Amino acid sequence: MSNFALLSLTKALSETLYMVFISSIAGISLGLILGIILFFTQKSLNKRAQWLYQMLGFLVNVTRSVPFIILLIGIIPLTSLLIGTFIGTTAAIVPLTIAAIPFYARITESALFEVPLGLLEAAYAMGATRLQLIYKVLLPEAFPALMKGATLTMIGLIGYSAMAGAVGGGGLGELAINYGYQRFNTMVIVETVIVLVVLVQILQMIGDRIAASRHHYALLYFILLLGVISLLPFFFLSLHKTENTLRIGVISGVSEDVMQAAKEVAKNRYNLDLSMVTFNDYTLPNVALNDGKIEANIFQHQPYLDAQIQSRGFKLVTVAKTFVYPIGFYSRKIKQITQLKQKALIGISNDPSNQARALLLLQKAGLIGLKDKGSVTSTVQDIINNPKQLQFVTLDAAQLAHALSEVDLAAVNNDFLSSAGLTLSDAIIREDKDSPYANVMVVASRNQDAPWVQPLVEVMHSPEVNAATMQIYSKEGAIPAW
Amino acid sequence: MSAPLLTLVDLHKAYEVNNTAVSALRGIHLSVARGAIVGIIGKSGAGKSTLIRSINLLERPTKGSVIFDGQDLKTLTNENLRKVRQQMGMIFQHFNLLSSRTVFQNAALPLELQGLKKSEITNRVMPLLELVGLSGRLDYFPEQLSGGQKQRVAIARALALRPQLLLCDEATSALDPESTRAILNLLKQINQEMGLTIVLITHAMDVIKQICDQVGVIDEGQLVEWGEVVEVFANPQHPVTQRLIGQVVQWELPENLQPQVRSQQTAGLHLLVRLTFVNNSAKTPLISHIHERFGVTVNILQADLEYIHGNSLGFMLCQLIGTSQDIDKALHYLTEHSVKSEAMGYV
Ligand SMILES: Nc1ncnc2c1ncn2[C@@H]1O[C@H](COP(=O)(O)OP(=O)(O)O)[C@@H](O)[C@H]1O
Ligand SMILES: [Mg+2]
Repeated sequence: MSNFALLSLTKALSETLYMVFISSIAGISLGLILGIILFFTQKSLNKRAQWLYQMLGFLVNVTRSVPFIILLIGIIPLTSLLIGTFIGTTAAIVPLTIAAIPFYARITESALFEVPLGLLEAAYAMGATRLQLIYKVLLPEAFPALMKGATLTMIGLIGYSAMAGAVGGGGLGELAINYGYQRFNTMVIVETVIVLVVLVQILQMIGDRIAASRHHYALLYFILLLGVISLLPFFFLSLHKTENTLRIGVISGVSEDVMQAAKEVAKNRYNLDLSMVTFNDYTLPNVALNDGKIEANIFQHQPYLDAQIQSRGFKLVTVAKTFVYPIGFYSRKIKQITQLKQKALIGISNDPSNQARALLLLQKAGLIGLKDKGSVTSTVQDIINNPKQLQFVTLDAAQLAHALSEVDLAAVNNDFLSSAGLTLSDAIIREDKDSPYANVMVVASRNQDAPWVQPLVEVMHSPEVNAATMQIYSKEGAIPAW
Repeated sequence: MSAPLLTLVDLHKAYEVNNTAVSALRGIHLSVARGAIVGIIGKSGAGKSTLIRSINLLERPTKGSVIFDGQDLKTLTNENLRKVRQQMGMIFQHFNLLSSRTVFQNAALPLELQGLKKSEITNRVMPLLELVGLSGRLDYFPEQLSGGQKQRVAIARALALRPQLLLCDEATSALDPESTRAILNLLKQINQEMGLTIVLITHAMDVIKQICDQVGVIDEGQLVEWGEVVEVFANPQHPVTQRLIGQVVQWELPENLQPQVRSQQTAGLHLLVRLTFVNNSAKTPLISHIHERFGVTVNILQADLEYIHGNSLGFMLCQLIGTSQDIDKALHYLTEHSVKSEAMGYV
């Protein structure tokens, strides 16, 4: 395993542990309280509190039925209120906690339900208060079930934490998805999955051990203490933000490696501290930038930014182009564009943005002419000049690579090349540095003239960053656009 | 005589089931003297559990009052009610021990709830565990104990707060006969040594017979019989009482005899009587006297002699053979010697 891989694995592991541990403690504590309330308001114990039981039960069910990723996005205002930001590992704790609460509340309710009613009766008969009944009788008696449920909750949260990547939470799941799955890096997938399996096994083992132990309280306190002590420094670190730190939003995966190089240049040459905030969702980096949660983002091309600004009213501006990650046209039937036959079948994407991009490229190659010289919103209907009478089929972007055996020529995004066994050098036509689809560095309009903007641009255009980019992308997979 | 420790006045309890009221107690009046062991017996569903749970207000009576040590419990605040409950220990059919606690910790629970110091808890719990014979099992968990041992732990726990009253809800119903006897003896011992008042409910007349001073019979939510145990045994009034007593003493006709019994006398049939002897009469040779003095032959079909609190109680089913004048004289003689005789028919 390379040094870098090991480093990112440990980082991801500590992020996962941090997110899962803190949200488990918070979620389980709050869920326990909610579960106790549910238990005491159930029909057989309190006929008059039925409205409360029904109401809480409904709330619990609603929260539990919302898919986690929706919850994550949906409670962004709450997260911002509590943590001050909705991005980053610490912020991801809020949705994880919210997801854990109703789950553990139900576990608590059913665990308490298993305690024989006779014990409640005995406790009341000896003059116990409600509170004493809870902590002297109910909780100790239900402890094994509560502990098993807690383990279950933690393991569930490990699964959920994979989605925390959407808000820059990082963690193992994100590593597996972005580095492994999306980049077809089987090694990374295997490594992270092994770490996850080991983690789950250890958790399960400790959980079962504690559940079966008679000295449960001592053990539980011990484990909790260990966890808190080991994670506290991380918590403070993550809240800490130095004055000079610029937070750069990127999509996790490939671009993170480049940012690593950028960090070094920024520090050495401009005394700027860069911190990377990774997202695996394409809308949040702009939301975060607009809200001032990050200082810049580098992940999108201009047409996408324009569309976002138009639909969401963001006050964002482009300050520099970075790289073009060119799309190309591929074929299994011809080697050169001149071999293209009359009425050839051309596969292009069915989503508007990629379709326009492919059509513009065809126009550039002189194969078609578009209305008004074409734009980033052109569609097949805008073709006004088609000397070869080319036929177009529109397909899902991911399907185009597979359709190569059916069509004469197809536009395939870089992302899907390797799954089709292609490289960019196989392209028959491809974009160059003048493509309107160059990635851009974006800042909030109010920061347009900030003193750090120009240095940041220079960092991104530095030979080091360029070299790092070239090394990571296969030959011509990234073309400097400046 | 001092004021009773516990008085139930016109106690009613109705449960609401599917919006209709189900009456479980219907006007119970009952007085329990200090130091007494009072048994309440009844068939299943008669309202026994409801009754005993009303005493410490685990179940709130719908009407009537519970007077304990001069206080009307229904008027107390929650805080004061909890204080009163600490004056009443309670043990249960299924023991209700905490499975997560050891023998010692279970017995110590009520004291922990009081916030007593560890050393004081130990000082109070140890003698109790000694008393119930479990000082060698302090660190056992309930699952490692037999039923009888579990109930002993429960008794120690119930006594930990030094209550005035012990409530026993079918405390021996889940135990084998031997453990039952041992637990009952223990309760009796506690009653005598500590002067603890005990109210127990049961469906088994055996239990009543063994340790109770007074017995109440409850049927369909009403107290249908009440008195000293010996008297109730000797002279049960209510059919439910009679049937319950039949559980423990053979005073009903044996089943094989029942079809042969005629209500009219015909030739060759003899009068069948049931004789009930209490105390001394059981020790006098009355049967031979009858034969010697009145020429009446006594053919014993069934006899049972019980001792209840040092009182002997005998039941005898017999044919009296002789002339009807002689038999009348003999029966009169028996009545004079406090032997109750009941004619059962002719056999
Ligand atoms: N919680 C309850 N809700 C409704 N009905 C009850 C409840 N507890 C007891 N009852 C009813 O009250 C009557 C007396 O019950 P109980 O006191 O338990 O009788 P016992 O202990 O003599 O068997 C029964 O008819 C029973 O069905
Ligand atoms: Mg009962």
